[in-house]
Amino acid sequence: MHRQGFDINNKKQGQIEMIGLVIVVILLAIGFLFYVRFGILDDDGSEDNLAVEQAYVTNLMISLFNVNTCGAEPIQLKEGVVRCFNSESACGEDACDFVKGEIKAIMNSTSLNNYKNYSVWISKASKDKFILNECKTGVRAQTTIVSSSNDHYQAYFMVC
Amino acid sequence: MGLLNLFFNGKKGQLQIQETILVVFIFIILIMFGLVFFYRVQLASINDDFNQFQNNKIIVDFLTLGDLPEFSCSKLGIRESCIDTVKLNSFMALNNSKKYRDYYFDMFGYKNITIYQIYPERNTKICSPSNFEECGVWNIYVNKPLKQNGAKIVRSTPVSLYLPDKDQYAIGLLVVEAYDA
Repeated sequence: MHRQGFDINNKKQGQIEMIGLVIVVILLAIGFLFYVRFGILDDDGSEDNLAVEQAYVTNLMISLFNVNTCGAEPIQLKEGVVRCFNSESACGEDACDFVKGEIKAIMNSTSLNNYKNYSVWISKASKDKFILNECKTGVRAQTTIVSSSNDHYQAYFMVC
Repeated sequence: MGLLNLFFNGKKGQLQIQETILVVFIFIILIMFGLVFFYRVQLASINDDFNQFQNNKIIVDFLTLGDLPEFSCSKLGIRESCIDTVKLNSFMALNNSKKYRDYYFDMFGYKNITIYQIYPERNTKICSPSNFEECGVWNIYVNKPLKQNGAKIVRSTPVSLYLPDKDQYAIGLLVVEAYDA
């Protein structure tokens, strides 16, 4: 009689433990499903943002380089960048100082203040010349400038 | 005694049948729960994919807008990275006719595309066929849905504007507002 009661208690305890185990397994499965749904399958769209940011910087660089500047004898800013590389003058002053001042002035007047610092440099035949050097890393754009003497230069623009 | 055994065995059998029914019932409930969960996750995933597709289309449209032959400028037949303001004026006039509006609706959908001149001066005069020389705001495509369902996505980027009458370049801000409809 005593042994029979002991067996029933054991069975009951075993059943309770199994139910507990099943609940734990179900909770783990639900947790795993949530992890898969929100942890792995969720895409933050960072690649799209990078593409848009890259396009923004490229457009900004092209817009800046195309601008006509120096009222009396207007030149495009990209011509000033080329003159800077060749250590020439632009608008009656050193071309590098002139371009640096113009870029700062344009950025301030257009209120395109998404970025605080800029780097602008020009390169030809592995020789680099920095006009502005405020960024070590950031979003970079580049373009080819063909001068009036048909020389090809690579101009770089970086924002950070 | 035999009758008592049969009675207890019968009761035990009933209990086992009930237990089986309960287990099957719980099993079906769990499967239904799983199906509903799977359906909802799939639905959310399809919606996400659709939104992602819409977003990508807006980005692609936005990035390639300046390169459209309708807007892009060229010099001696060589295309340059800028927008011709005379072409903008022509486009706005063209876009007033139903034929072309339908054509560009297929291309752009529900969007507002505006270009603001911001350099050398901010010009807030809206361009129209009667006023295209001294203006600085080109509403090049305006198509807002009557009923807006989702959020509006706004993207903007600087663009180089070519002013052929002055043979000069200005800086503009291209703003694209995309609507869900």
